[in-house]
Amino acid sequence: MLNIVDMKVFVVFLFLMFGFSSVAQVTKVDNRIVLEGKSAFEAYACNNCHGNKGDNLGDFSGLKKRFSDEEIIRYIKNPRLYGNKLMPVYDGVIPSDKLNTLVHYLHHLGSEQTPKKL
Amino acid sequence: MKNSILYISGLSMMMAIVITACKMTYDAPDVQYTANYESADVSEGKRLTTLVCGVCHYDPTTEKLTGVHMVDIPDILGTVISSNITNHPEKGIGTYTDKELATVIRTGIARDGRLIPFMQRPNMSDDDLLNIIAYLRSDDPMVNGSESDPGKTKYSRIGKMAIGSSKPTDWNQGIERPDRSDKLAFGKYLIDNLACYDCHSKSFAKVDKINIEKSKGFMGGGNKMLNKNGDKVITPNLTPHETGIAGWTEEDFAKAVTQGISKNNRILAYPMPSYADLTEKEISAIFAYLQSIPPIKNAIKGR
Repeated sequence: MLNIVDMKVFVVFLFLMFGFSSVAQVTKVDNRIVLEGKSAFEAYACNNCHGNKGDNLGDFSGLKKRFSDEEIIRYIKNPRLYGNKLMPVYDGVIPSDKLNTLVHYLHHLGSEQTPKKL
Repeated sequence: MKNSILYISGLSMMMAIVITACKMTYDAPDVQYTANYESADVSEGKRLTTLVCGVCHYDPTTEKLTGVHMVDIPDILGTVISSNITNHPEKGIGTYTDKELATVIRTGIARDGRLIPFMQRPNMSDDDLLNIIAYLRSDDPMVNGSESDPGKTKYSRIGKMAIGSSKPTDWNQGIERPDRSDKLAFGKYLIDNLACYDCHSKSFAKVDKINIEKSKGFMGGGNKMLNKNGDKVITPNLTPHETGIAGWTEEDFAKAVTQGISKNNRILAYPMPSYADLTEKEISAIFAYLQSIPPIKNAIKGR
């Protein structure tokens, strides 16, 4: 029979195991999405203008605070609606699942940038 | 003694050739030009400036024509930076006279005598030139004076040789834009003034600025450029050959030019500009003209 102290230790042990494995799982999924996003970023030639690290053109830092994911997707699909005449119009070109991973990757790039002073 | 004379004359000739080949500055032509602002169409000037000048001078971070580092030009030629052409009196072109602006656009000779071959539009009509100059003088946000300083161009020795091999184009006046209903002539005029032939022919060094159709490999692609990451980009063949745009419809072409999406959903990104401001008539004329030029067999990988 486990005494009360052993029980506590066992519960803490289970909690830590579960917690670590969840964190590991989330990190693994997160990394996979970032890799998929990176692949989309390159496949759709975003890096041609924005640069491989996204720091050539535009400002991805704090993107999450400024725009919702839906807004970013709307922008990517038709930048002309926002007065951007330079970017390709991706509507019907990038499938929706790829758009989601792309947005995730933009947040990832933004998290590694410091805001630009214009 | 005879050998020494031969040696010295040979050396002098070589030096003369090198000096001539590296000539970088020229005297501006002695011409009269004053812009008649009363007959100018400033909104058309804005559209033309965006299409013709914006490609090199527009900086998306300032949202003005403050100039940028032209990273599409290979480093081997040096660092090429387009100038601030807002109407700021010190950093921009605010103190340029009408004649100085017209001269740099028509002949490539800047106020300080530098030759800027990328600028040359010797066949631009008087009306289009006037509209552009009138817009550059306006207070529109894109050209309103900005102190932004993009830096100075520094050519490498090879760059100097390349510029040295270029010549100013002749000053002409009284040039009329072809009638828009004459699709072939108007399409050629647009290919000329949008400088499509500059990138889409064989080499920047082998283009003919006066008779664009005499450019080597005219519109057949193969010119080597760089994207923003410094990766090599080879310009595609736009002649009506199966290795070019044979089989394209006008709609395919319009989508590529205005939306940056090529046939089969290939992405057209930097250094290819997006010409969102072209009208349907202009696109139709360009496409018709491209269908009329001699096809060139030149398969470009990935195109």
